[in-house]
Amino acid sequence: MVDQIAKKVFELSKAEQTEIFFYDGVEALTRFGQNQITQNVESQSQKMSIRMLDKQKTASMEISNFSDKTIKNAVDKLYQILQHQVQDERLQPLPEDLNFKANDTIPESFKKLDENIRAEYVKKALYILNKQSVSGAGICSQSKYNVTHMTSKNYSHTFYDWKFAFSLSAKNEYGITREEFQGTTLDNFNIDKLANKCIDSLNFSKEKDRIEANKYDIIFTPEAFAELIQYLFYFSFSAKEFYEKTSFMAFKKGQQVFSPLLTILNNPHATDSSALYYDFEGSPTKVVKLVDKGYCNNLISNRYFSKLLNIENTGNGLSPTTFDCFPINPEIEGGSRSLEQIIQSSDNALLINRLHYLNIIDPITLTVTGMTRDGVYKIEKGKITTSTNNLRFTESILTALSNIEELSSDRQQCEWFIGFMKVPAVKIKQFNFSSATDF
Amino acid sequence: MFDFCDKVLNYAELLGASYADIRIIIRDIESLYTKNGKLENYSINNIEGFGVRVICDNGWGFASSSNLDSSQIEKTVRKAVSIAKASSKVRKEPIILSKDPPFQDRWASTYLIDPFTVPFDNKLQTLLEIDEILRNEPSVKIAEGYMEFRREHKYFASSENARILQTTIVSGAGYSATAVGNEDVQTRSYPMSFGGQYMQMGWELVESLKLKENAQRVASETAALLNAKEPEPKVRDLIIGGEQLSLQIHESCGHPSELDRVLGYEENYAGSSFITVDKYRNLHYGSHKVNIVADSTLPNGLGTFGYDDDGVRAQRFFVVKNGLYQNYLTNRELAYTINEDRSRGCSRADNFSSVPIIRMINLSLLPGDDKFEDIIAATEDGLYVDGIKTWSIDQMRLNFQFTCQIGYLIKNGKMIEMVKNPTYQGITPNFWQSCDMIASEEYWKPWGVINCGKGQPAQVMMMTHGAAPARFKNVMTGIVRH
Repeated sequence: MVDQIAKKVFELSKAEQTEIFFYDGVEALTRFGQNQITQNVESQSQKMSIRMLDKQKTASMEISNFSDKTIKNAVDKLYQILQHQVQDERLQPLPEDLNFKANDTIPESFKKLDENIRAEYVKKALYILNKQSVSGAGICSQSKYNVTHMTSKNYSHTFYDWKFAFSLSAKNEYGITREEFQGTTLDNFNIDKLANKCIDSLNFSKEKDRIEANKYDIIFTPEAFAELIQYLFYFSFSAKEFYEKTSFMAFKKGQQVFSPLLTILNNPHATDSSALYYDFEGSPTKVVKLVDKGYCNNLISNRYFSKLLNIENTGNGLSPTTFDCFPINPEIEGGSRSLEQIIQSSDNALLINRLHYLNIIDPITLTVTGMTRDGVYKIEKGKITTSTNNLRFTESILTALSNIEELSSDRQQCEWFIGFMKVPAVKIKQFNFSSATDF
Repeated sequence: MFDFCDKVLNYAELLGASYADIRIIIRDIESLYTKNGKLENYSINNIEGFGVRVICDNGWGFASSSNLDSSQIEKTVRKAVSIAKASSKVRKEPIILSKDPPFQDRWASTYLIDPFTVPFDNKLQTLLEIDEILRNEPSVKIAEGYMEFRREHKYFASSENARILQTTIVSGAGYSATAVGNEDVQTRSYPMSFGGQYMQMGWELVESLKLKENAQRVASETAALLNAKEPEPKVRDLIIGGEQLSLQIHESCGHPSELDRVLGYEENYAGSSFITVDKYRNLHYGSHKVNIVADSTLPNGLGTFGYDDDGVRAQRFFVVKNGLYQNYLTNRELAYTINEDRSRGCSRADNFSSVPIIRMINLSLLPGDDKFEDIIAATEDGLYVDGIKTWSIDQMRLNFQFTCQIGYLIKNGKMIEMVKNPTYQGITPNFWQSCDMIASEEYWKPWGVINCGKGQPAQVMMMTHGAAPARFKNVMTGIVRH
C-alpha cells in the first residue's frame, strides 16, 4: 500500500525531488488505579508527511487521508507553497538508490498480546498486591509501528518497532514503590516476580527516617540514572549545539570532564528497541564513542554539520530542515560488581529508586532540578535499613558524573525522550539536595 | 458527518454497549519556524479521524482510527467493545455517569481575520523583520520566531442523543533571543516562552501583540543577562510577574485539582495530589486574597469551548475562594465519587485518537486591587521574577522549584539590579498562604499554555491562565548548594 501511495505522490509531484515518511502504527494501553482498570484504549493511525525540495527551497505537509483526491490536492497545494519559500543553501539533496527493510520478526509472545491478556496481567498483579493489603496502579501497554522513508530518487528504508511495557506502583500506609518491565518480547516477563519485588521494597518502608536537604553519597538504580542522564544526551553531544556554543562540549571537547570510570557510546544496536540503521537523511548510523574513560572526544552529527565542522557524519540526522541530531541509542559501559554488591560495600548512602519531573536550569553546566520518588532508602553498613522522605536535588550533571564512585555490571534498557538507552546503576558521592518534602 | 456518527452509535448499541460516544476531528495546522534569518521549518498538517468510547458490562473501552471511511466503523467499534469487556474483568465499582443533559448545538470560537487567508509572505516577513532586530544585538547568536494557526472541526455524538459541532480557530506567535558568551547561554522570549502567546483568535492576535515593538528591548535584556549574576540564596519577599504566575497556578493549583489525580488514577505516572478527598472544602489553600476560578467560557481562552468532550456545557466556578479550597475539576465519570450530580465539564482529549480525561480548562487568579508600582514600592528586600524557564514539582504537587528567565533585586522599594537564573522554591499551601498583594485588573492578562502534558498514552493540551503580578512573603529564593 505504501509503495502505491508513494508512487502516486512522486508521479504527481512537479518538484525536482520529493520524499515521504509513512507512519503506520497501533498503540494499546490498559491503565489501572485504585485496584481496578480505569482506562483501556487502542489507537490505530496512519499518516504521511510529504516534503518537496526544489531549487534549494523546501516545504512539507502531513495528511492522514490517502484517497486519490486528497493526495492530488495535497501534492498540488504543497507545490504552490514551495514556490513561496525562501532559498536555503544548507538544504541537502534527498537520499537515493537504496532498498532496505529492517528486521520485522515479531516474537510469538508479542503477537498473542491483546486487551484480554493485558487485563489478565493486571488482575494477577493486583491479586498479589491486595493479598498483602497493598493497592496498585500502573499500565500495561503494547505498541507496534513502522515508518517507511521513500524518495523520488529510488530510496526506500523501512524500520519497525514494537514494545511491551508493564509498570506497577504499589502503595500502603508505609509508602509507595514502583517496578517496571519493558521489552520487545515477553519471554523474560514475570508478573509474579514484578509484583513481589514491589512488596519486598515496601517492607523497607515500615520504618521511616526524616532527613533534611544536604549533600549525600547516593546510589541511583538504572531507571533513576537514566532519568538524570537523558539531559546530558539531549543537550550536549550534538554538532549543532557544539557549533552554536550552547553545550559544554563547545568548551571542553577533548578534555577529561568526567570520572575515568565513565565510558559512553551511541550504539544503534545497543538496545532492542528503536534501532535505526539509517537516519532520516538516509545516512548509515554509526557506533560513536562519545565519552572514553571520562574524556569527551566526539560529537553526534548529520550531513550539514559534518561538512561545516569537517567531522565524520555519524548518521544521526533527525530533521532535514532544522538539522537537529541526537544520540538515539546511548549506552553506558558497566562496572565489575552488581548493584547488590555495591550496596553491600556502602557504609552510608542513599539508594534512590526513581526521579520525578526533572528540568534543566543551565544547559552549559547541565544544572538540573528534580525530585526523588517511589522509594528513597538509607544504606547503613552495607544494608538497606529504612526509607526516608523525598528530596529535591539541584545539581550539575557535569559535577555528578565527575563524582562517580562505581557503576554496576548489570545494565538495563530504559526509554528516554527520543529513544532507548542502556544504563547501569551508579554510585555518586556528595550529590546536592536543595530541599526536602514531608512525604 | 452526523450520519457517520449515527452508524457508529447504532453499531455500538447492537454489540451491547450501554453507553457510547464518538468524536470526529478534522484539524488543519499551519506552522512557521524561523531561525537566524532563515525559514527553518514550514509545515501544514491536515489530520482527521474518529474515536469511539463505550461502556459495556461495566467496563470502559476506547478505540480510534485515522481513516474516516465507513468501512472502518465495524472494526473500530468492535475493538472498543472488546476492550470494554476486558476492562470489566478488573473493575470493582459500578460506572455511574453524572446526570448531565445531552445537547444538540453548534458552537464556534470568534475571530476577525481568518489566519489561513493571510498570505504566507506576510507571516514570514513579520518573523524575519523581528529576527533582524534581535540579531542586531551582537551577543544574540540565536534568534527564533514562531507562528502557528489551527482550525478544528469537532463532531460529538452520544447514545444519549447529544449532537454537537464545534469549530475552533487558534492563532499563536512569538519569538526568543538567545545570547551566548562568557561560557553562558541566556534566553528571553516574547510575549511568552515556548512559542509565544496563543489564543482562540485569528490573525488579529498577531497584529495586537506588538511583536516588532518589543524586539529591541528583548534583545537588550538578553544581552544584559550574560553579565548579570545569580541571586544569592536567601529568604526574601518574592514578586512574580503574570507569565510566571500563570505557570505557578497551572502546576500548584491546576494539576492537584484534577479529580482523577486526587483519586489515584495517575499515581503510577504524573502522581497524585495533596488535596485529598478529606481536605475537600476543608483546606486553607491560600491567603484570603487568593481567588482562583476555572472558566471554560473565558473569551478567547485556549480552554474555552461550548461543550467538553463528555458533551457537558462550558461553565465557570471557583476552585479557591478567599483562600479556601472549593472545587475539583471533574468529568461525568468521576463526579459521583465526591457526591456531585453534575460534572464540572473538564473532560478533554487532545485528538481523535485520545480518550477524554480530566484536564484543566482555563484557570485564573482573579486580580487584586494593588497597583504594580505600589507592590514594588512596598517591598524592602525582595526579588521580582518573570519569564518561564524551568519548572519542577513533586508528585503530590507540594514541593516546587521554578527558575525564571529574568529577575531584579528589590531594595527599599526599588528594582536595583538585574539577576540571571532567578530561582524560588516552596511548599504549595504555605506559598499561597503567603500571598499578600495582587495587582489590579489593569495588570491582569491571559497567558496561553500549549504544552501541558498528561496521561498515558501522552496527551498535550492547551489552556489559558489569567494572572496579574502578585507578592509572596518570605520565600526561599536562589539555588541552594550545600
